Amino acid sequence: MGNDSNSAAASARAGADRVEIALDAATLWRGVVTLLRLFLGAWMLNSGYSYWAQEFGWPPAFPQPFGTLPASNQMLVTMVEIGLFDFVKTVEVIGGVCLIFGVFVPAATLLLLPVSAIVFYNAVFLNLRTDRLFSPTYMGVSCLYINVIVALAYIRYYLPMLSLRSTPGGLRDLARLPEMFRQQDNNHHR
Amino acid sequence: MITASRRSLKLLSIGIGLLFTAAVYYTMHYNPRWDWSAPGVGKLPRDIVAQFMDQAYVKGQGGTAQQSYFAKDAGDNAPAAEDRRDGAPVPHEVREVIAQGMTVTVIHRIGPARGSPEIDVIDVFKIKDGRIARRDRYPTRFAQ
Repeated sequence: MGNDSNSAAASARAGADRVEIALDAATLWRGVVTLLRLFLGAWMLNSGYSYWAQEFGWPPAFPQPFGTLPASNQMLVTMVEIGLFDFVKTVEVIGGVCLIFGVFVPAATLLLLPVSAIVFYNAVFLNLRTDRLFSPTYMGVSCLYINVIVALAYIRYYLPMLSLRSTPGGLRDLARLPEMFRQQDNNHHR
Repeated sequence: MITASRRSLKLLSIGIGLLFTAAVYYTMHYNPRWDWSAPGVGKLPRDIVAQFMDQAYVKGQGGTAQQSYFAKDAGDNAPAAEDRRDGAPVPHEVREVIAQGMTVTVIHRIGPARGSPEIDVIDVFKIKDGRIARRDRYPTRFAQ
């Protein structure tokens, strides 16, 4: 892409710590994705926090919803009763914090995708809110849309994982884990 | 072209993220659809019913419990039940609780109290918005 190569060249000229941002479509796209990432993170953090807040007697953002229609009631109540919501809400908090602070963003986006998918399933298929299928203010559906858009924006990080052919490595590969903290995002504006 | 430091951009994005978090919290917390005064807001239906029964039976505060736990427009086919009046504690033995979604069924034996005889009943509670929206009582007789 022409805009991307211009941005990359500008970035290289600007040095390691400073970055030159071209006022082009690529920058606009990154800005939109960043705002969507931050909003998804904010939503997930509030959702996860609200559940745990009630457990610890703190003021939640909102009380845990248990759905409107019977099938949704059953699923949500059962998930809480069997303890699965403890896992789901912990994932929301961890994923939300990662998205807001911009750390492990590709992994966090992937982590949150099943949560968003179940939220969507609950809203559309269990609560039958098809009337709000395309309502951007209804997070029952929007969180999945935003999650998918953010995931697509970070798809280059998933490509190595999507190898058609692969072979298992050795346990010594675990020693490479610290590399994730050393790797610089040198594609910041490419 | 705009020049900025990566650190500034990072801090800016975190600041916007925290702002979004606060905005979502504020918008959701003060949404008028939540009835924060409901005693069972955000709690599991079986817990709401257990709390109601504890107050109404064990503590004998049925009148108070009814006012706080039953919705104003709640339906009840046993409006004269002892668990809706204040008085001496009412002994009762819960045989089984069956909860599915927002419906909680309590099968229990209510001991003699306040001049009323012992009765066996199946109480079916429907929960909505942290309160009991309906109670249907089915008198029965346990074999033992």
